[in-house]
Amino acid sequence: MLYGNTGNVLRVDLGENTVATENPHPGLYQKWIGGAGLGTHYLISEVRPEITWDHPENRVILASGPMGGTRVPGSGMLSAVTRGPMTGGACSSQANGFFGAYLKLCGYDAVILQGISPAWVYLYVNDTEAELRDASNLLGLDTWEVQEALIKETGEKQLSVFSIGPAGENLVRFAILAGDKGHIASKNGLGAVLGNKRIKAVAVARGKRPVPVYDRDRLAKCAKEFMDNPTSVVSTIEKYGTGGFLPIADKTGRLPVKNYTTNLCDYVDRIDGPYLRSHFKLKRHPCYACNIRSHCHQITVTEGEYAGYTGDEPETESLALMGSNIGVSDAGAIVMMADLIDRLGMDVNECGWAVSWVIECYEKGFFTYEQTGGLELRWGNEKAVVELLHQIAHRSGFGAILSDGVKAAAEKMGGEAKNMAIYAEKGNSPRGHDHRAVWLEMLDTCTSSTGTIEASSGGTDTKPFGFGPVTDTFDWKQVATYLGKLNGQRNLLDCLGACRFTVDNNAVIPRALTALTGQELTPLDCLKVGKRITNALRVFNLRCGIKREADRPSVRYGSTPVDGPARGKALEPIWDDMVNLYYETMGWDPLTGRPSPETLKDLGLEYLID
Amino acid sequence: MTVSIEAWGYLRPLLGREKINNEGPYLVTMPEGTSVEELIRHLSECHPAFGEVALSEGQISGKFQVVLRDILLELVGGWSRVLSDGDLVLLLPIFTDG
Repeated sequence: MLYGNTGNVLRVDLGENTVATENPHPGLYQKWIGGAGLGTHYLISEVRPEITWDHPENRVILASGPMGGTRVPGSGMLSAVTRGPMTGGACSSQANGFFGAYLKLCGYDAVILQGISPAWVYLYVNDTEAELRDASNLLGLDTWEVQEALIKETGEKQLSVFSIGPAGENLVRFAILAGDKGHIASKNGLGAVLGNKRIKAVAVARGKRPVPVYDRDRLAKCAKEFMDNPTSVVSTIEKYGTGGFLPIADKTGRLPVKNYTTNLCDYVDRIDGPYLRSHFKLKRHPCYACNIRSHCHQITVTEGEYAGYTGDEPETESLALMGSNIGVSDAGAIVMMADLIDRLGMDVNECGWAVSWVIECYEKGFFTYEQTGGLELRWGNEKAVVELLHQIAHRSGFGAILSDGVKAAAEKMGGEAKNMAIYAEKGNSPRGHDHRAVWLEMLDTCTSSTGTIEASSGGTDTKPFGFGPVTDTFDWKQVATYLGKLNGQRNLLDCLGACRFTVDNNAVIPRALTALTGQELTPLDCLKVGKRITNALRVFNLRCGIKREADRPSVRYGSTPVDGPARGKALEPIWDDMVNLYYETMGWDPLTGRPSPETLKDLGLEYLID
Repeated sequence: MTVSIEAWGYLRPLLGREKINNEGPYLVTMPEGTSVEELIRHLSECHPAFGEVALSEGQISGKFQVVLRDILLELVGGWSRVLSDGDLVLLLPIFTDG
């Protein structure tokens, strides 16, 4: 008997309008665990290099994991894997909420979407049926409105709805999949892939099928260990949300300010987590089985021009990107814009870099008032930004220039304007930080194969793996070897079906997996599964034509800070050496970044040797 | 020589500084020539809970960052940087992306 997972995968052919249940070989679960692992398996098995992101044969795999739907805290996580438009390579992106748990409780580990529907549809799943339904009445609705409409339409009160907003319908290349009012799988244009397939939403009702667990008592003990030993990160989140990290970012030079033109911002204490939590009205909005009592909230602005606005409490990246990065100091405006971006269905990271780039261009005269169609795109003018965001999402007006992302827009402009844009050369968006002060995350973002940061996680305890953290953020040798040793840990977390904030404990994870599945695992066994994913996705991207040249930052992204806590520290002189050492530590060819045959064999990926 | 310590986030209670706004500066008197690493070791001895985070097998753990005079410690000499009278040493948690 299979434990931890259900053994059922729902395959949906949108072109053929068919829905069928498959039973993967149990060995697949041992090899890939679930979630991002299962998704990676299907991606490399079924999406050949000639199948581009918008090809009917591209797949979108939405998966839970063995922890999904169990008493493990935060076990509603959804992992999404596809080939995405921003990099043209792999996408692995996660969202919390309820979806993963409900899917498991309906009796499925994953949903595979393939084909292109002739008309707009949504997928409805409960524990007795799964079918495609007409979505014509949902077109144009934002991601929150879709949730409300489908709860009303289905009559299901406990319904997890993940949908694309107008941006996804319009194939904005950084469109997202958003659900449960505030949870986002945001990377590499997942929403554009779904929009291309003409699927507006996936709605999963809470099922009643219990998850088969190998040893419930042992799992209960592990769940308690996860709860009793949260990472240091969680203690800050408990008090202030991830917005509590904003002042730390400011002090350590990782706060993005005005498109990396400076690192000085004199109003952080008016836009950070402590400010929001002490001034605005909060309503708890926890995910499935979450033990972090005070992370997710809906928030109502109580002061200023946007008083009365209710949305999702912004995470630290949203606060930075819609605040300091574009010169906005009104916390209410930031709440409103971050929420608007989610509802329109766009990645807040890419929006942030796109908007800050276009503002800097406008301020420096690269765009005129006439060219912007009357948008006065200056630092801090949130009203113009709001109009611009609508234009981007609808590919209308001046904003359409940004609908394929800042890299594409900058390359069209060329010259000095191109050099001002922040992106990784692969095309993916950095998260909302100034990584010039965190070389680990810069290296990770640029060499990642997932469409976002792939490996680094500041709070994780690597002692169970036998190595310690970086002690000098600018020691490139230390950074490269640490990242090479660590890469895989985060992909492992994304296999589990639970939030990385709640289960990021490398000592407990193996025990929990053993309790769930009966499979005996050590921390290094678990890390190896993550490394299997990392290497498989690397091969996938190489086959898609993404080469070493793409593993670097854009000119501005890799520039030297002119002021602030990391001022004067230049990355460019050591970049190539750092990448070489990272490749070497990963067991990759130092020149090409291709995983060596020995590395692939060691991971059980012989069939990926080209 | 007296230096002022400020700790943020989960590091604060580890140094016995439970409340955020209603305490004065945490002043520590150290011999002239004390380095940042020696200060951290001194704090670890005085506050074992802090020491569990700050040190790992006797070495600086890398689980927190230090800012000195508004600049990252790495850029002003690293752990061997010698402190001056009146320095403000800011201890900050490492954080993960959101």
